[in-house]
Amino acid sequence: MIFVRNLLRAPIRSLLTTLGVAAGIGLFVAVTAITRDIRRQIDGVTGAYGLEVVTYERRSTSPFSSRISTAQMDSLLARYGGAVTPLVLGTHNERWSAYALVIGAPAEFQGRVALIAGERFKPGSGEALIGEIAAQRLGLQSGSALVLDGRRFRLAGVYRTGSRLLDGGVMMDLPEAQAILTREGAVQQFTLALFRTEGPADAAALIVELNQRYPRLRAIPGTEFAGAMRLMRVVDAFVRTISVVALLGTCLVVGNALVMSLAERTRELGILMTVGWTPWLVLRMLLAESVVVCAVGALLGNGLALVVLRVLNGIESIGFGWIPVRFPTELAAASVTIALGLALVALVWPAFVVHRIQPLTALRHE
Amino acid sequence: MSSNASLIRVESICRRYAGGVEALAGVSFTAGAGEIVAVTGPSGCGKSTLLALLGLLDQPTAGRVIVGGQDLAVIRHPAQFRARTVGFVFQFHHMVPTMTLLENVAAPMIAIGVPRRERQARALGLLEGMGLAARARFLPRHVSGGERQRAAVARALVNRPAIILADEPTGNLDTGNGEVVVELLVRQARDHGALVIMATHNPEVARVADWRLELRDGVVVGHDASPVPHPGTPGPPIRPRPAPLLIRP
Repeated sequence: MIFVRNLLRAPIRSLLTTLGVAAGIGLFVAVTAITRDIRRQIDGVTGAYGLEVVTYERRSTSPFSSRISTAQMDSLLARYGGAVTPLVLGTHNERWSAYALVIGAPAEFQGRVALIAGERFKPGSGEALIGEIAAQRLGLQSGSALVLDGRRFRLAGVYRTGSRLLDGGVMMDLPEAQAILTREGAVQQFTLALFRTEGPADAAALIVELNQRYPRLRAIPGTEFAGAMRLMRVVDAFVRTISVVALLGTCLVVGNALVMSLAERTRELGILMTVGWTPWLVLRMLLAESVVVCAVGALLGNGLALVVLRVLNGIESIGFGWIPVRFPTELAAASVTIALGLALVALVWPAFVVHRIQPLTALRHE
Repeated sequence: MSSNASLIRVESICRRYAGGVEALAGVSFTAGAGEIVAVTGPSGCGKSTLLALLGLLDQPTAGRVIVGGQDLAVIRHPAQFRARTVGFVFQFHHMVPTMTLLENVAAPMIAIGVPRRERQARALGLLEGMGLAARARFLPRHVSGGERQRAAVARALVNRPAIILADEPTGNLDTGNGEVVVELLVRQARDHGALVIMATHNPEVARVADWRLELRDGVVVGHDASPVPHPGTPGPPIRPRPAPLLIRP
């Protein structure tokens, strides 16, 4: 294993370079995992209940900032009746979580939620349901009490949706959630209007109709909800920028290490070229070193990302249901593939250097 | 051997470096397969420069080097030429420190695409022939200087080159190891018909040559077909260079 021996001749540099790759790949994986998961969680809000059409305020940047007026909601309810589910979503800063998710929904909405303990809340009774994750974190169960915005709620049951975002929240009757989430003096509003349709064709027709009839609202398929949000697009752009910078930095770290290694091995390269090695053969040897560093770095980076996610998840003011503790295998595979691509890109400058090496000059190099 | 049958024909080559230093000034000679040529002369006389030009590690500023009828100036793939036609032995072995002796010896075969298994077998065979089989998997720093130089000779021979260029091959060795290395080179010429051109200060080494080319200040000051005398004993006089194209007697 010549390339391993070459890497071990400068062990500290190889280690630091590998850690540099790990940091870059780890950052890429962590931020990508977080944003993908947030997107998945938001899609889960709509997808978990088989709701084909989501309607929200056209100007809003996130589901929480969407404001559908009471007049608009009344109009929707009058026109579409039972197909419409008004929903209030918001986060509230509580002692037990800086982003306590509050979901306000009509009592019948509970029929779409799986209860794992207790029973459904009764409208107007000061009862609520708590998500499984929130219940576990807070050590609560059905029958326990929870204080939200200074109001005491009796937890009638514990629900599970499969969406970590929702399962980290509290669900209650619509007016009670509106009371908690509406600022003092503000007009009570709704966040989303969810529509159930008979099928995709119905959904498509409904979307066209809603968008024409309600220009201040935007109707989209539930599956496109997260992608359509301006906030998510901003977050995506932000994450892409961070990823590109991280990966570019990684590439420069590897390239710099290779160039340093080349400078130290000039005479050896001269020897190899003297015995007939072409610059491409020399580059092949460097590529093996670059690939090993990047592959090991990528594996470490994935491990690092896992640790970072778990640490963030453990910080309640940040992680409560928002930060994933694992990421999909395809993201890990993609990160390794990207790292291998970086191993190639990092060779560009060394390739230039190698092609300029003259064997005789290299042999005389001190 | 006539110039027509020569393996190498050197025609008035010059090598002038930046700053005006003229390392070689109009050197000419021919040499044929199976010959051993000693290039002698004081330090800085141009011996290494001459070998570099013959091995296509450098280009002359004037003149031509013709190997096997082909002008080296028009060779498109110098690396391939070096791998297939030339074997280099240097004074300081020049082994790659992170490669084992076996890998070092096999390195030239990689350049010409010899399959891995054959590379291993041939390299190991050569190392065995040089008494280095037990050291094959050792890194150069873990073997003696003599063993390193023998491995370097093995590396020079592994592609069965027509020409072996040895630059002070015994310069860094004790007498015993020096003799072994010279013997290896002589055997390559005698048994396999390789042309061996050795640059050396050492008269003991030069005396094994079929003929000698003496350089001084970049010009040929003589050639001699007779054995080089032992130090301290009068030898045949070095004949002055008679013509621009020096033909071996």
